[in-house]
Amino acid sequence: MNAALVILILIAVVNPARARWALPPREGRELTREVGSGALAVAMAAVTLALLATTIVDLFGVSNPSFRLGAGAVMLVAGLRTMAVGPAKWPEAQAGGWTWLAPVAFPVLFTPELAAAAVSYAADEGATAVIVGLVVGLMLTVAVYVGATNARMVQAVGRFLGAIVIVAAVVAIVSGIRDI
Amino acid sequence: MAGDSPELLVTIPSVRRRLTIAIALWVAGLLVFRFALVPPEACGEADLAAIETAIGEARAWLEDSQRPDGTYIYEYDRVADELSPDYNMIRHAGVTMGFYQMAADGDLSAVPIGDAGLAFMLDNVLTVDNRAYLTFGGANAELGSSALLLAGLAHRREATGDTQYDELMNQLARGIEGQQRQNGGFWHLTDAAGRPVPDVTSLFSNGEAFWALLLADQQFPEAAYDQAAQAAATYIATEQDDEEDVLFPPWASQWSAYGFSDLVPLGISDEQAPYIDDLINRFGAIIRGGAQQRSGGIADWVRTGSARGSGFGTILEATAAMNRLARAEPRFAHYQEDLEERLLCVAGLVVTGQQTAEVAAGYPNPGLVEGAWFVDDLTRMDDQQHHLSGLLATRAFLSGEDF
Repeated sequence: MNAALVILILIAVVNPARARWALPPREGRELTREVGSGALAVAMAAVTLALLATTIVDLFGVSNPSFRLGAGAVMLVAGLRTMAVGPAKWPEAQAGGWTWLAPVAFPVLFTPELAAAAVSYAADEGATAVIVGLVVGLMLTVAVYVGATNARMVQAVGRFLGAIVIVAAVVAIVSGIRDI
Repeated sequence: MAGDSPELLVTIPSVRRRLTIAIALWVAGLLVFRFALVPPEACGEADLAAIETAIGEARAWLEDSQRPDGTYIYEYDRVADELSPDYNMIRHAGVTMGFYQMAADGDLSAVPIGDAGLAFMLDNVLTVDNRAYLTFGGANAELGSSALLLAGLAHRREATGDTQYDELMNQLARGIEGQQRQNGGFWHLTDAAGRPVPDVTSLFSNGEAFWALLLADQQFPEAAYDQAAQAAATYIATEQDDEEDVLFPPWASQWSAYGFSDLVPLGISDEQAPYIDDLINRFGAIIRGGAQQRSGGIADWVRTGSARGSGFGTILEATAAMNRLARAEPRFAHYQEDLEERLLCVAGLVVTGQQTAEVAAGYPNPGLVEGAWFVDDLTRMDDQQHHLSGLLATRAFLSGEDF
Protein backbone atom coordinates (compact mmCIF):
# COMPACT_ATOMS: atom_id res chain seq x y z
CA MET A 1 0.00 0.00 0.00
CA ASN A 2 1.53 3.33 -0.92
CA ALA A 3 2.27 5.90 1.75
CA ALA A 4 -0.24 8.46 0.47
CA LEU A 5 -3.05 5.97 0.87
CA VAL A 6 -1.97 5.11 4.40
CA ILE A 7 -1.89 8.80 5.30
CA LEU A 8 -5.35 9.35 3.84
CA ILE A 9 -6.76 6.38 5.75
CA LEU A 10 -5.29 7.55 9.04
CA ILE A 11 -6.66 11.05 8.50
CA ALA A 12 -10.07 9.50 7.85
CA VAL A 13 -9.76 7.37 10.99
CA VAL A 14 -8.85 10.44 13.07
CA ASN A 15 -11.78 12.22 11.41
CA PRO A 16 -10.96 15.93 11.82
CA ALA A 17 -14.67 16.71 11.99
CA ARG A 18 -14.99 14.70 15.16
CA ALA A 19 -14.15 17.36 17.74
CA ARG A 20 -16.39 19.99 16.16
CA TRP A 21 -19.14 17.39 15.82
CA ALA A 22 -18.95 16.03 19.36
CA LEU A 23 -18.07 19.05 21.48
CA PRO A 24 -19.89 22.32 22.20
CA PRO A 25 -19.21 25.00 19.59
CA ARG A 26 -16.35 27.39 20.20
CA GLU A 27 -17.27 30.44 22.21
CA GLY A 28 -14.53 32.91 22.67
CA ARG A 29 -11.48 30.64 22.78
CA GLU A 30 -12.23 28.52 25.84
CA LEU A 31 -12.49 24.99 24.43
CA THR A 32 -9.98 25.71 21.71
CA ARG A 33 -7.21 25.30 24.26
CA GLU A 34 -8.78 22.05 25.46
CA VAL A 35 -9.09 20.70 21.95
CA GLY A 36 -5.53 21.71 21.15
CA SER A 37 -4.16 20.10 24.31
CA GLY A 38 -6.29 17.03 23.87
CA ALA A 39 -5.16 16.60 20.26
CA LEU A 40 -1.54 16.92 21.34
CA ALA A 41 -2.02 14.27 24.02
CA VAL A 42 -3.72 11.93 21.57
CA ALA A 43 -0.98 12.51 19.02
CA MET A 44 1.64 11.49 21.57
CA ALA A 45 -0.30 8.38 22.55
CA ALA A 46 -1.06 7.34 18.99
CA VAL A 47 2.50 7.93 17.80
CA THR A 48 3.69 5.76 20.68
CA LEU A 49 1.33 3.02 19.57
CA ALA A 50 2.60 3.28 16.01
CA LEU A 51 6.22 3.09 17.09
CA LEU A 52 5.49 0.08 19.28
CA ALA A 53 3.21 -1.59 16.71
CA THR A 54 5.34 -4.66 16.07
CA THR A 55 5.81 -5.22 19.77
CA ILE A 56 2.09 -4.85 20.41
CA VAL A 57 1.21 -7.33 17.68
CA ASP A 58 3.78 -9.74 19.11
CA LEU A 59 2.26 -9.29 22.58
CA PHE A 60 -1.07 -10.33 21.13
CA GLY A 61 0.67 -13.47 19.90
CA VAL A 62 -0.60 -13.14 16.35
CA SER A 63 0.72 -12.41 12.90
CA ASN A 64 0.10 -9.11 11.11
CA PRO A 65 -2.81 -10.34 8.96
CA SER A 66 -4.62 -11.66 12.03
CA PHE A 67 -4.28 -8.32 13.80
CA ARG A 68 -5.32 -6.53 10.62
CA LEU A 69 -8.51 -8.56 10.54
CA GLY A 70 -9.39 -7.46 14.05
CA ALA A 71 -8.47 -3.84 13.37
CA GLY A 72 -10.58 -3.91 10.24
CA ALA A 73 -13.57 -5.15 12.23
CA VAL A 74 -13.16 -2.32 14.74
CA MET A 75 -12.83 0.22 11.92
CA LEU A 76 -15.90 -1.18 10.19
CA VAL A 77 -18.08 -0.80 13.27
CA ALA A 78 -16.72 2.69 13.86
CA GLY A 79 -17.24 3.75 10.28
CA LEU A 80 -20.79 2.49 10.25
CA ARG A 81 -21.52 4.26 13.53
CA THR A 82 -20.07 7.50 12.22
CA MET A 83 -22.20 7.36 9.12
CA ALA A 84 -25.33 6.44 11.04
CA VAL A 85 -25.29 8.61 14.15
CA GLY A 86 -21.93 10.34 14.33
CA PRO A 87 -19.76 10.46 17.45
CA ALA A 88 -21.19 10.61 20.96
CA LYS A 89 -21.94 14.23 21.86
CA TRP A 90 -20.53 15.95 24.93
CA PRO A 91 -22.51 19.18 25.18
CA GLU A 92 -21.77 19.36 28.90
CA ALA A 93 -18.04 19.77 28.39
CA GLN A 94 -16.72 23.01 29.88
CA ALA A 95 -13.47 24.83 29.58
CA GLY A 96 -10.86 24.38 32.29
CA GLY A 97 -9.88 21.61 34.63
CA TRP A 98 -9.25 18.25 33.05
CA THR A 99 -11.56 18.75 30.09
CA TRP A 100 -8.59 18.58 27.68
CA LEU A 101 -8.07 14.98 28.93
CA ALA A 102 -11.67 13.93 29.46
CA PRO A 103 -13.77 14.09 27.44
CA VAL A 104 -11.69 15.76 24.70
CA ALA A 105 -8.65 13.44 24.50
CA PHE A 106 -10.64 10.48 25.80
CA PRO A 107 -13.06 9.40 24.56
CA VAL A 108 -13.73 11.98 21.82
CA LEU A 109 -10.38 11.96 20.01
CA PHE A 110 -8.71 8.74 21.19
CA THR A 111 -11.04 6.14 19.74
CA PRO A 112 -10.84 2.34 19.42
CA GLU A 113 -10.50 2.61 15.65
CA LEU A 114 -7.65 5.09 16.00
CA ALA A 115 -5.74 2.79 18.33
CA ALA A 116 -6.39 -0.30 16.20
CA ALA A 117 -5.54 1.40 12.92
CA ALA A 118 -2.38 3.02 14.29
CA VAL A 119 -1.04 -0.37 15.38
CA SER A 120 -2.20 -2.37 12.37
CA TYR A 121 -1.05 -0.02 9.62
CA ALA A 122 2.24 0.69 11.37
CA ALA A 123 2.92 -3.04 11.76
CA ASP A 124 2.16 -3.64 8.09
CA GLU A 125 3.49 -0.51 6.39
CA GLY A 126 5.93 1.01 8.85
CA ALA A 127 5.38 3.83 11.32
CA THR A 128 6.30 6.86 9.19
CA ALA A 129 3.20 7.21 7.02
CA VAL A 130 0.99 6.33 9.97
CA ILE A 131 2.54 9.04 12.14
CA VAL A 132 2.20 11.58 9.35
CA GLY A 133 -1.46 10.68 8.91
CA LEU A 134 -2.15 10.85 12.64
CA VAL A 135 -0.42 14.20 13.13
CA VAL A 136 -1.99 15.79 10.06
CA GLY A 137 -5.39 14.46 11.05
CA LEU A 138 -5.15 15.84 14.58
CA MET A 139 -3.88 19.19 13.36
CA LEU A 140 -6.84 19.36 11.02
CA THR A 141 -9.08 18.47 13.94
CA VAL A 142 -7.99 21.60 15.79
CA ALA A 143 -8.27 23.69 12.63
CA VAL A 144 -11.79 22.46 11.93
CA TYR A 145 -12.83 23.05 15.52
CA VAL A 146 -11.52 26.61 15.38
CA GLY A 147 -12.57 27.51 11.87
CA ALA A 148 -15.73 25.59 10.93
CA THR A 149 -18.87 27.67 11.01
CA ASN A 150 -21.43 25.32 9.45
CA ALA A 151 -22.32 22.36 11.63
CA ARG A 152 -24.16 20.56 8.86
CA MET A 153 -21.13 20.80 6.60
CA VAL A 154 -18.98 19.45 9.41
CA GLN A 155 -21.27 16.48 9.82
CA ALA A 156 -21.30 15.82 6.08
CA VAL A 157 -17.51 15.82 5.96
CA GLY A 158 -17.42 13.62 9.04
CA ARG A 159 -19.74 11.12 7.42
CA PHE A 160 -17.72 11.15 4.21
CA LEU A 161 -14.61 10.33 6.18
CA GLY A 162 -16.57 7.58 7.90
CA ALA A 163 -17.31 6.12 4.48
CA ILE A 164 -13.58 6.08 3.70
CA VAL A 165 -12.99 4.26 6.96
CA ILE A 166 -15.59 1.66 5.97
CA VAL A 167 -13.89 1.01 2.63
CA ALA A 168 -10.48 0.77 4.30
CA ALA A 169 -11.97 -1.58 6.89
CA VAL A 170 -13.37 -3.94 4.28
CA VAL A 171 -10.02 -4.06 2.49
CA ALA A 172 -8.29 -4.78 5.80
CA ILE A 173 -10.74 -7.53 6.71
CA VAL A 174 -10.49 -9.23 3.33
CA SER A 175 -6.71 -9.14 3.31
CA GLY A 176 -6.65 -10.20 6.95
CA ILE A 177 -8.64 -13.29 6.01
CA ARG A 178 -6.83 -13.97 2.76
CA ASP A 179 -3.19 -13.21 3.36
CA ILE A 180 -0.51 -15.61 4.46
CA MET B 1 -24.32 29.09 14.34
CA ALA B 2 -26.50 27.20 11.87
CA GLY B 3 -27.37 23.68 13.00
CA ASP B 4 -25.90 23.94 16.54
CA SER B 5 -27.85 22.26 19.37
CA PRO B 6 -28.79 24.37 22.38
CA GLU B 7 -26.38 24.35 25.34
CA LEU B 8 -27.34 22.38 28.42
CA LEU B 9 -26.55 22.91 32.09
CA VAL B 10 -23.32 21.11 32.94
CA THR B 11 -23.03 18.79 35.91
CA ILE B 12 -19.74 17.16 36.93
CA PRO B 13 -21.42 13.90 38.01
CA SER B 14 -22.88 13.61 34.48
CA VAL B 15 -19.45 13.79 32.88
CA ARG B 16 -18.04 11.30 35.39
CA ARG B 17 -20.89 8.90 34.75
CA ARG B 18 -20.43 9.07 31.01
CA LEU B 19 -16.67 8.67 31.34
CA THR B 20 -17.17 5.61 33.49
CA ILE B 21 -19.43 4.16 30.84
CA ALA B 22 -16.89 5.02 28.14
CA ILE B 23 -14.10 3.30 30.06
CA ALA B 24 -16.28 0.25 30.66
CA LEU B 25 -17.09 0.08 26.96
CA TRP B 26 -13.40 0.31 26.09
CA VAL B 27 -12.55 -2.54 28.46
CA ALA B 28 -15.38 -4.67 27.11
CA GLY B 29 -14.36 -3.87 23.57
CA LEU B 30 -10.76 -4.77 24.29
CA LEU B 31 -11.84 -8.15 25.67
CA VAL B 32 -13.99 -8.83 22.60
CA PHE B 33 -11.11 -7.74 20.39
CA ARG B 34 -8.68 -9.97 22.20
CA PHE B 35 -10.70 -13.13 22.61
CA ALA B 36 -13.11 -13.08 19.69
CA LEU B 37 -11.41 -11.10 16.93
CA VAL B 38 -7.70 -11.59 17.57
CA PRO B 39 -7.12 -14.67 19.72
CA PRO B 40 -3.49 -15.74 19.97
CA GLU B 41 -2.00 -18.10 17.41
CA ALA B 42 -1.02 -21.10 19.53
CA CYS B 43 1.39 -23.06 17.36
CA GLY B 44 3.07 -25.44 19.78
CA GLU B 45 6.71 -26.51 19.65
CA ALA B 46 8.26 -28.22 16.62
CA ASP B 47 12.01 -28.63 16.88
CA LEU B 48 13.90 -31.36 15.06
CA ALA B 49 13.81 -33.72 18.02
CA ALA B 50 10.05 -33.44 18.41
CA ILE B 51 9.56 -33.96 14.69
CA GLU B 52 11.80 -37.03 14.69
CA THR B 53 9.81 -38.51 17.54
CA ALA B 54 6.52 -37.77 15.80
CA ILE B 55 7.75 -39.39 12.57
CA GLY B 56 8.83 -42.50 14.41
CA GLU B 57 5.54 -42.87 16.23
CA ALA B 58 3.41 -42.26 13.14
CA ARG B 59 5.45 -44.79 11.19
CA ALA B 60 5.09 -47.28 14.02
CA TRP B 61 1.31 -46.90 14.02
CA LEU B 62 1.09 -47.53 10.27
CA GLU B 63 3.62 -50.34 10.31
CA ASP B 64 1.87 -52.09 13.20
CA SER B 65 -1.48 -51.63 11.46
CA GLN B 66 -0.37 -53.45 8.32
CA ARG B 67 -1.96 -56.85 7.82
CA PRO B 68 -0.34 -59.89 6.14
CA ASP B 69 -2.13 -59.09 2.88
CA GLY B 70 -0.52 -55.65 2.80
CA THR B 71 -3.58 -53.65 3.71
CA TYR B 72 -3.63 -51.28 6.68
CA ILE B 73 -6.17 -50.53 9.38
CA TYR B 74 -8.56 -48.19 7.62
CA GLU B 75 -10.30 -46.41 10.45
CA TYR B 76 -10.40 -46.88 14.22
CA ASP B 77 -12.79 -45.65 16.89
CA ARG B 78 -10.82 -45.43 20.11
CA VAL B 79 -13.79 -45.13 22.44
CA ALA B 80 -15.78 -48.02 20.98
CA ASP B 81 -12.50 -49.87 20.25
CA GLU B 82 -13.81 -50.77 16.81
CA LEU B 83 -12.14 -51.09 13.45
CA SER B 84 -14.07 -49.94 10.42
CA PRO B 85 -14.79 -52.66 7.83
CA ASP B 86 -14.45 -50.09 5.04
CA TYR B 87 -11.47 -49.75 2.79
CA ASN B 88 -10.30 -47.30 0.16
CA MET B 89 -7.69 -47.93 -2.49
CA ILE B 90 -6.76 -44.26 -2.98
CA ARG B 91 -5.88 -44.00 0.68
CA HIS B 92 -4.08 -47.33 0.57
CA ALA B 93 -1.98 -46.06 -2.33
CA GLY B 94 -1.33 -42.86 -0.42
CA VAL B 95 -0.17 -44.64 2.71
CA THR B 96 2.10 -46.91 0.69
CA MET B 97 3.47 -43.84 -1.06
CA GLY B 98 4.23 -42.43 2.38
CA PHE B 99 6.57 -45.33 3.12
CA TYR B 100 8.32 -44.80 -0.21
CA GLN B 101 8.65 -41.10 0.59
CA MET B 102 10.37 -42.19 3.78
CA ALA B 103 12.67 -44.36 1.75
CA ALA B 104 13.43 -41.54 -0.67
CA ASP B 105 14.27 -39.43 2.37
CA GLY B 106 16.95 -41.95 3.28
CA ASP B 107 15.24 -44.62 5.39
CA LEU B 108 15.41 -47.71 3.19
CA SER B 109 13.97 -49.85 5.98
CA ALA B 110 10.61 -48.44 4.91
CA VAL B 111 10.83 -50.17 1.52
CA PRO B 112 9.71 -53.66 2.60
CA ILE B 113 6.67 -52.17 4.35
CA GLY B 114 5.82 -50.24 1.23
CA ASP B 115 6.41 -53.34 -0.88
CA ALA B 116 3.88 -55.28 1.16
CA GLY B 117 1.35 -52.54 0.46
CA LEU B 118 2.43 -52.52 -3.16
CA ALA B 119 1.79 -56.24 -3.49
CA PHE B 120 -1.86 -55.69 -2.57
CA MET B 121 -2.14 -53.02 -5.27
CA LEU B 122 -0.40 -55.13 -7.92
CA ASP B 123 -3.15 -57.71 -7.51
CA ASN B 124 -5.64 -54.99 -8.44
CA VAL B 125 -3.99 -53.46 -11.51
CA LEU B 126 -6.01 -53.49 -14.73
CA THR B 127 -3.96 -53.33 -17.93
CA VAL B 128 -5.63 -52.39 -21.22
CA ASP B 129 -3.78 -51.45 -24.43
CA ASN B 130 -0.49 -50.87 -22.62
CA ARG B 131 -2.16 -48.56 -20.13
CA ALA B 132 -2.63 -49.46 -16.48
CA TYR B 133 -5.21 -48.49 -13.88
CA LEU B 134 -5.50 -49.35 -10.21
CA THR B 135 -8.92 -50.77 -9.47
CA PHE B 136 -10.61 -52.05 -6.35
CA GLY B 137 -13.45 -54.42 -5.73
CA GLY B 138 -14.58 -54.58 -9.34
CA ALA B 139 -15.58 -50.94 -9.44
CA ASN B 140 -14.38 -48.44 -12.02
CA ALA B 141 -10.77 -47.46 -11.49
CA GLU B 142 -10.35 -44.14 -9.70
CA LEU B 143 -7.77 -41.78 -11.13
CA GLY B 144 -6.38 -40.92 -7.70
CA SER B 145 -5.55 -44.55 -7.00
CA SER B 146 -3.50 -44.89 -10.16
CA ALA B 147 -1.87 -41.52 -9.57
CA LEU B 148 -0.79 -42.26 -6.01
CA LEU B 149 0.41 -45.72 -7.00
CA LEU B 150 2.56 -44.07 -9.68
CA ALA B 151 3.74 -41.44 -7.21
CA GLY B 152 4.73 -44.15 -4.75
CA LEU B 153 6.61 -46.11 -7.39
CA ALA B 154 8.44 -42.96 -8.46
CA HIS B 155 9.63 -42.38 -4.91
CA ARG B 156 10.59 -46.04 -4.65
CA ARG B 157 12.62 -45.86 -7.85
CA GLU B 158 14.25 -42.68 -6.64
CA ALA B 159 15.16 -44.33 -3.33
CA THR B 160 16.36 -47.71 -4.56
CA GLY B 161 17.34 -47.28 -8.21
CA ASP B 162 15.29 -50.45 -8.81
CA THR B 163 13.86 -50.45 -12.34
CA GLN B 164 11.66 -53.55 -12.11
CA TYR B 165 8.46 -51.50 -12.14
CA ASP B 166 9.44 -49.20 -15.01
CA GLU B 167 7.00 -50.78 -17.43
CA LEU B 168 4.14 -50.54 -14.95
CA MET B 169 5.01 -46.93 -14.17
CA ASN B 170 4.90 -45.96 -17.83
CA GLN B 171 1.63 -47.83 -18.27
CA LEU B 172 0.16 -45.97 -15.31
CA ALA B 173 1.38 -42.65 -16.70
CA ARG B 174 -0.16 -43.41 -20.08
CA GLY B 175 -3.35 -44.41 -18.31
CA ILE B 176 -3.42 -41.03 -16.58
CA GLU B 177 -2.75 -39.27 -19.85
CA GLY B 178 -5.62 -41.23 -21.34
CA GLN B 179 -7.95 -39.74 -18.73
CA GLN B 180 -6.92 -36.20 -19.55
CA ARG B 181 -9.48 -33.95 -21.21
CA GLN B 182 -8.79 -31.33 -23.85
CA ASN B 183 -8.80 -28.53 -21.29
CA GLY B 184 -6.09 -30.27 -19.24
CA GLY B 185 -8.42 -31.58 -16.53
CA PHE B 186 -9.12 -35.27 -16.03
CA TRP B 187 -11.97 -37.71 -15.99
CA HIS B 188 -11.99 -39.38 -12.58
CA LEU B 189 -13.09 -42.92 -13.48
CA THR B 190 -12.01 -45.56 -15.99
CA ASP B 191 -14.21 -48.52 -16.89
CA ALA B 192 -13.13 -52.14 -17.28
CA ALA B 193 -12.41 -51.58 -20.96
CA GLY B 194 -9.99 -48.79 -20.21
CA ARG B 195 -12.33 -46.02 -21.33
CA PRO B 196 -12.85 -42.81 -19.34
CA VAL B 197 -16.26 -42.63 -17.72
CA PRO B 198 -17.59 -39.27 -18.90
CA ASP B 199 -19.02 -36.51 -16.76
CA VAL B 200 -17.30 -37.58 -13.55
CA THR B 201 -14.47 -35.42 -12.29
CA SER B 202 -12.74 -34.95 -8.95
CA LEU B 203 -10.98 -32.00 -7.37
CA PHE B 204 -8.63 -34.35 -5.56
CA SER B 205 -7.66 -36.54 -8.47
CA ASN B 206 -6.81 -33.55 -10.68
CA GLY B 207 -4.01 -32.60 -8.32
CA GLU B 208 -2.95 -36.21 -7.75
CA ALA B 209 -2.70 -36.85 -11.48
CA PHE B 210 -0.85 -33.57 -12.08
CA TRP B 211 1.77 -34.44 -9.49
CA ALA B 212 2.10 -38.09 -10.56
CA LEU B 213 2.78 -37.06 -14.17
CA LEU B 214 5.54 -34.75 -12.98
CA LEU B 215 7.11 -37.49 -10.90
CA ALA B 216 6.92 -39.83 -13.89
CA ASP B 217 8.55 -37.18 -16.05
CA GLN B 218 11.40 -36.91 -13.54
CA GLN B 219 12.01 -40.64 -13.84
CA PHE B 220 11.36 -40.94 -17.59
CA PRO B 221 12.08 -37.57 -19.20
CA GLU B 222 12.23 -39.12 -22.65
CA ALA B 223 8.53 -40.02 -22.41
CA ALA B 224 7.61 -36.32 -22.23
CA TYR B 225 4.94 -36.62 -19.54
CA ASP B 226 5.71 -32.97 -18.77
CA GLN B 227 3.40 -31.80 -21.53
CA ALA B 228 0.38 -33.42 -19.94
CA ALA B 229 1.58 -32.17 -16.56
CA GLN B 230 1.84 -28.58 -17.82
CA ALA B 231 -1.64 -28.80 -19.31
CA ALA B 232 -2.94 -30.08 -15.97
CA ALA B 233 -1.16 -27.27 -14.13
CA THR B 234 -2.71 -24.62 -16.35
CA TYR B 235 -6.14 -26.21 -15.99
CA ILE B 236 -5.85 -26.26 -12.20
CA ALA B 237 -4.61 -22.67 -12.18
CA THR B 238 -7.20 -21.21 -14.54
CA GLU B 239 -10.31 -23.37 -14.87
CA GLN B 240 -10.65 -26.02 -12.18
CA ASP B 241 -12.19 -23.94 -9.40
CA ASP B 242 -14.86 -22.50 -11.70
CA GLU B 243 -15.65 -25.83 -13.32
CA GLU B 244 -15.93 -27.58 -9.96
CA ASP B 245 -17.90 -24.71 -8.36
CA VAL B 246 -15.39 -24.20 -5.57
CA LEU B 247 -17.12 -21.79 -3.21
CA PHE B 248 -14.02 -20.07 -1.87
CA PRO B 249 -11.21 -20.55 -4.36
CA PRO B 250 -8.49 -21.61 -4.58
CA TRP B 251 -9.16 -25.25 -3.75
CA ALA B 252 -6.60 -25.93 -1.04
CA SER B 253 -5.10 -29.11 -2.46
CA GLN B 254 -1.80 -30.37 -1.13
CA TRP B 255 -1.48 -32.50 -4.28
CA SER B 256 -1.54 -29.35 -6.40
CA ALA B 257 0.99 -27.82 -4.03
CA TYR B 258 3.29 -30.81 -4.49
CA GLY B 259 2.79 -30.49 -8.22
CA PHE B 260 3.52 -26.79 -8.51
CA SER B 261 6.60 -27.20 -6.35
CA ASP B 262 7.91 -29.97 -8.60
CA LEU B 263 6.94 -27.94 -11.68
CA VAL B 264 9.55 -25.25 -10.93
CA PRO B 265 12.40 -26.90 -12.90
CA LEU B 266 10.14 -27.13 -15.95
CA GLY B 267 9.00 -23.54 -15.62
CA ILE B 268 5.93 -21.87 -14.12
CA SER B 269 3.97 -19.81 -16.59
CA ASP B 270 2.54 -16.34 -16.09
CA GLU B 271 -0.89 -17.96 -16.30
CA GLN B 272 -0.13 -20.28 -13.40
CA ALA B 273 1.70 -17.84 -11.13
CA PRO B 274 -1.30 -15.91 -9.73
CA TYR B 275 -2.94 -19.17 -8.68
CA ILE B 276 0.19 -20.19 -6.82
CA ASP B 277 0.11 -16.81 -5.07
CA ASP B 278 -3.45 -17.54 -4.01
CA LEU B 279 -2.54 -21.05 -2.86
CA ILE B 280 0.31 -19.80 -0.71
CA ASN B 281 -1.92 -17.21 0.90
CA ARG B 282 -4.69 -19.75 1.38
CA PHE B 283 -2.53 -22.26 3.21
CA GLY B 284 -1.03 -19.51 5.35
CA ALA B 285 -4.45 -18.20 6.30
CA ILE B 286 -5.66 -21.71 7.15
CA ILE B 287 -2.69 -22.16 9.46
CA ARG B 288 -3.32 -18.84 11.21
CA GLY B 289 -6.96 -19.70 11.71
CA GLY B 290 -6.13 -23.17 12.94
CA ALA B 291 -3.55 -21.84 15.38
CA GLN B 292 -6.06 -19.33 16.73
CA GLN B 293 -8.64 -22.06 17.09
CA ARG B 294 -6.17 -24.17 19.02
CA SER B 295 -5.53 -21.35 21.50
CA GLY B 296 -8.64 -22.59 23.22
CA GLY B 297 -11.07 -20.80 25.48
CA ILE B 298 -13.55 -18.60 23.76
CA ALA B 299 -11.51 -18.74 20.56
CA ASP B 300 -12.33 -22.41 20.28
CA TRP B 301 -16.00 -21.65 20.79
CA VAL B 302 -16.17 -18.67 18.49
CA ARG B 303 -14.36 -20.36 15.64
CA THR B 304 -16.39 -23.52 15.40
CA GLY B 305 -15.51 -26.80 13.77
CA SER B 306 -12.42 -28.97 13.84
CA ALA B 307 -10.70 -30.22 10.74
CA ARG B 308 -10.42 -33.95 10.07
CA GLY B 309 -7.35 -35.42 11.75
CA SER B 310 -5.59 -35.38 8.40
CA GLY B 311 -6.45 -31.70 7.97
CA PHE B 312 -3.31 -30.23 9.45
CA GLY B 313 -1.25 -33.01 7.90
CA THR B 314 -2.34 -32.02 4.41
CA ILE B 315 -1.70 -28.37 5.21
CA LEU B 316 1.76 -29.28 6.48
CA GLU B 317 2.48 -31.17 3.26
CA ALA B 318 1.23 -28.26 1.20
CA THR B 319 3.11 -25.61 3.15
CA ALA B 320 6.33 -27.58 2.96
CA ALA B 321 5.84 -27.86 -0.80
CA MET B 322 5.17 -24.14 -1.15
CA ASN B 323 8.17 -23.44 1.05
CA ARG B 324 10.35 -25.42 -1.37
CA LEU B 325 8.76 -23.58 -4.28
CA ALA B 326 9.43 -20.16 -2.76
CA ARG B 327 13.08 -21.06 -2.31
CA ALA B 328 13.44 -22.33 -5.84
CA GLU B 329 11.40 -19.79 -7.82
CA PRO B 330 12.42 -16.13 -7.46
CA ARG B 331 8.91 -14.88 -8.23
CA PHE B 332 7.77 -16.24 -4.87
CA ALA B 333 10.92 -15.53 -2.87
CA HIS B 334 9.17 -12.72 -0.96
CA TYR B 335 7.04 -15.38 0.75
CA GLN B 336 10.03 -17.22 2.22
CA GLU B 337 9.99 -15.66 5.65
CA ASP B 338 6.25 -16.00 6.12
CA LEU B 339 6.21 -19.52 4.73
CA GLU B 340 8.93 -20.64 7.10
CA GLU B 341 7.00 -19.16 10.00
CA ARG B 342 3.78 -20.85 8.91
CA LEU B 343 5.57 -24.15 8.29
CA LEU B 344 6.97 -24.23 11.79
CA CYS B 345 3.58 -23.21 13.17
CA VAL B 346 1.66 -25.99 11.45
CA ALA B 347 4.43 -28.46 12.28
CA GLY B 348 3.96 -27.48 15.91
CA LEU B 349 0.22 -27.99 15.60
CA VAL B 350 0.81 -31.41 14.09
CA VAL B 351 3.31 -32.49 16.73
CA THR B 352 1.12 -31.37 19.63
CA GLY B 353 -1.92 -33.04 18.04
CA GLN B 354 -0.33 -36.48 17.97
CA GLN B 355 -1.58 -38.79 20.70
CA THR B 356 1.00 -39.61 23.36
CA ALA B 357 1.42 -42.78 25.41
CA GLU B 358 -0.07 -41.00 28.41
CA VAL B 359 -3.22 -40.11 26.51
CA ALA B 360 -3.41 -43.54 24.88
CA ALA B 361 -3.32 -45.26 28.26
CA GLY B 362 -6.81 -43.98 28.94
CA TYR B 363 -8.35 -45.96 26.09
CA PRO B 364 -9.22 -49.65 25.68
CA ASN B 365 -6.51 -50.26 23.10
CA PRO B 366 -3.61 -47.88 23.71
CA GLY B 367 -1.55 -49.41 20.91
CA LEU B 368 -4.02 -48.11 18.33
CA VAL B 369 -4.10 -44.66 19.87
CA GLU B 370 -0.48 -43.76 20.54
CA GLY B 371 1.19 -42.10 17.60
CA ALA B 372 -2.03 -41.35 15.73
CA TRP B 373 -4.11 -38.23 15.21
CA PHE B 374 -7.79 -38.26 16.15
CA VAL B 375 -10.80 -36.09 15.59
CA ASP B 376 -14.03 -36.98 17.34
CA ASP B 377 -12.27 -40.14 18.60
CA LEU B 378 -11.72 -41.42 15.05
CA THR B 379 -8.49 -41.90 13.19
CA ARG B 380 -8.00 -43.06 9.62
CA MET B 381 -4.92 -44.40 7.91
CA ASP B 382 -4.46 -41.37 5.71
CA ASP B 383 -4.51 -39.16 8.82
CA GLN B 384 -1.21 -40.76 9.75
CA GLN B 385 0.10 -40.68 6.17
CA HIS B 386 -0.52 -36.98 5.59
CA HIS B 387 1.02 -36.02 8.90
CA LEU B 388 3.96 -38.33 8.28
CA SER B 389 4.59 -36.99 4.79
CA GLY B 390 4.38 -33.42 6.04
CA LEU B 391 6.74 -34.11 8.93
CA LEU B 392 9.26 -35.77 6.62
CA ALA B 393 9.28 -32.66 4.45
CA THR B 394 9.62 -30.39 7.47
CA ARG B 395 12.47 -32.41 8.87
CA ALA B 396 14.23 -32.23 5.52
CA PHE B 397 13.82 -28.45 5.46
CA LEU B 398 15.10 -27.98 8.99
CA SER B 399 18.03 -30.27 8.20
CA GLY B 400 18.84 -28.41 4.98
CA GLU B 401 18.10 -31.41 2.80
CA ASP B 402 16.17 -31.78 -0.43
CA PHE B 403 12.86 -33.59 -0.20
